[in-house]
Amino acid sequence: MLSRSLAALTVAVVVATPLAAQKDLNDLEMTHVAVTASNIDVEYAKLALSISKDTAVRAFAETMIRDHNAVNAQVAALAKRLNVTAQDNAMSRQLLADAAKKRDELRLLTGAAFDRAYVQNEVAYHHTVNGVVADAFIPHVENAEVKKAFEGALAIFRGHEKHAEQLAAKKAGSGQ
Amino acid sequence: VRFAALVTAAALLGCGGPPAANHLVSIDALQFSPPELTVAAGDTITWVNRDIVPHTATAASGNVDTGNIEAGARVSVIAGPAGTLSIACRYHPTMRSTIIVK
Repeated sequence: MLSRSLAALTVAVVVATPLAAQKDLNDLEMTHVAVTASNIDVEYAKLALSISKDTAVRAFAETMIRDHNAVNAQVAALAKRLNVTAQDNAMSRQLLADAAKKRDELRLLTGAAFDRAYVQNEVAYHHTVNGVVADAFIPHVENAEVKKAFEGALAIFRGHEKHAEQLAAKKAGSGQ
Repeated sequence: VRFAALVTAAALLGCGGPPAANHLVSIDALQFSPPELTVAAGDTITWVNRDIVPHTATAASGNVDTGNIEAGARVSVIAGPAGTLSIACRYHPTMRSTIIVK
């Protein structure tokens, strides 16, 4: 299950190298992936704020920064209380590498073309990460508090996905 | 918190009408619960944010705007004149509810 999900994530987030040899991740590795994915979306949002002049796109990006930072702060507080540290792993590193490439693509765009590409990437990125968290992570998390944190974060990120879908539909409908 | 009908509500309360009721709207997992609420003018509506991210309860008409409801916080307003309010979160436009003031 995890390998299939990783493969899906690899495709959707535009990955250069396959993750064929991934083994199952433990709680701390899954947490690291989730925090990394959250930080990546903050970086996408910062890029959007530096390029986009669209009010709705900028508002969405600001919400991404606000919410993902809040989720990561909650994770950091939980980790401190449990006296544990999230563990770096191959999937986190792959996500970071893929995101760097995607940001390089987005940086080449301006105006409506950037807005469309940014929002479409947000739809795909949230859809894929949410799927991995729901199907591959949450069923396998062992610590009850970590599982609850994942479930809370997933509810928020699913809201982001719907928000991005609405925004993408508006952009497509307006032709902008 | 902005609610133009505060004065109206105070006037109603001073007229010897039925006692004002309190209504709770929970915000959890980016959803208002209940999604639809009927209240009387002068009642108190309290939004409780059980999420870890901030929200607002903002009427499209501009009649109600709680401002930021921080994680774990609650904000109350007094229901104003009769009408139907379409409420959304300013940050999460997929969050919607309806409040009917009678």
